[in-house]
Amino acid sequence: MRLLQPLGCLCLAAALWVQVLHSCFATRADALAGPLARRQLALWQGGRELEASLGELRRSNPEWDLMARMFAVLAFAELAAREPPQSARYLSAIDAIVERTIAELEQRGARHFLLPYGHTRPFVDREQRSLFVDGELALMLALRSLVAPSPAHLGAARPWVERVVAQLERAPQQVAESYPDEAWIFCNAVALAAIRLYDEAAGEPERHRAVIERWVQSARAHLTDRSTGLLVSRTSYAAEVQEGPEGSTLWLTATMLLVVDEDLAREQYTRARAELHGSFAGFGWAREWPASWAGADDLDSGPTVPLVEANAGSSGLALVAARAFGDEQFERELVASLGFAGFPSDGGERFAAGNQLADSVILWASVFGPSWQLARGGRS
Amino acid sequence: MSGRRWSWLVLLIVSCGFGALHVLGARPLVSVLSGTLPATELELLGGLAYAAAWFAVVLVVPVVALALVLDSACGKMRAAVQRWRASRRR
Repeated sequence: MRLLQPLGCLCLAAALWVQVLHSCFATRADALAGPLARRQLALWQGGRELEASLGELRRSNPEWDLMARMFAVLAFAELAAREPPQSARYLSAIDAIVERTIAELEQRGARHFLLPYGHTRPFVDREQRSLFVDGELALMLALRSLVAPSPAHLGAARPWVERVVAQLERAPQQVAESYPDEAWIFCNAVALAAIRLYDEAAGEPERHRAVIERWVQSARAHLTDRSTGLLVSRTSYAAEVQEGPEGSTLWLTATMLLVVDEDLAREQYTRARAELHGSFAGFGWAREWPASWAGADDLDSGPTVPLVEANAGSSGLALVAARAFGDEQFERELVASLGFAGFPSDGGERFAAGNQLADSVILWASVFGPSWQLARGGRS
Repeated sequence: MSGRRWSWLVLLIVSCGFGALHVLGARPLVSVLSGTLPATELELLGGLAYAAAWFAVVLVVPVVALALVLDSACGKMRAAVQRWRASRRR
């Protein structure tokens, strides 16, 4: 009886606190944009902070170095389209990122951004190229051409886009390799979006329609997990499934597919939300694997919180997808979680629980919209 | 010292521990939570300690503090009721 009152008080206090806690971290995703954009823009002016930050990413995973560049370009393109008076600053940052990336690829080779196991054996495809590298660079160049079209930028984008088109066309089931005998759907979706963005920028929206349609047919036939209806994350070059549906792949893939095949994109988002969304007391998160697929954490997506299965990489990219698909409830929940467990620092200029890559993903999510609208033919 | 005072002392120590880690600049070290490799083992420990202290300060301290206040209020109400009953008997 002596313990009953304190225990009752503890339960009541916990119930009250849980109800109000999320409101301490509630904000809208677009409110995050200003400080994050300020730091990302300053960072990409170059200097010791940028080199230290990229060095930190490379120490953990060399892929993150390239991905941080792609997400920064995605964010800057949105900002350039959103804020025309400031667009010159953002476009010049995009140009600096692209120039630096091409120069590094020329100096250090295409495997510079791959994990060590990507150096150990040859690709199956005769051209010996990674769709991860070529696709992300093609997307950066195509997006640059789309938000501020010019013959010079279209000319620069074209060989990279044609290269990824050729990679997809040579692949037995239209899924091209990112690593030797490994096709990642994440990279394939990025490459397809690059093709669509380029075609739209060039004023020829149907130019590569056939290759896109073949990929979508192949995805429905060979790349779909039967129990969930979700796209798998990794296959062999011959499209044999190696890894099932993975949150961090699915959220980005659905977002990229919005400009490629809207029906498939919406179907994947709806299914992913049903399988991977978690929430409690106003906080939201995303799982990395559906309950039906026991996958392990990988280096790309970061650790998973046990019990609730909240995954950092999946939750970050879920914020992008929630914005892209207008899912305001999920967006609010994810932003609350970000304030609670993301450790915003320096007045919101960065999230200490992440890194430069995570900050650029969140910035892209917070400004998402105008360039994808352009890619869907919204210029007119 | 009563159990309730001990509890307040523990909450104070946890809060001060978090404050000290914050002042010492441990917040940026929590990047380990996203799988970013720390430069040293000390950075790893600092990041984990900061994260644990933050979640304790945000989740545990307010709940326990609120529970202590409620418990104390219940105790005072019960004492008041007993005094009132005793005065009615007299």
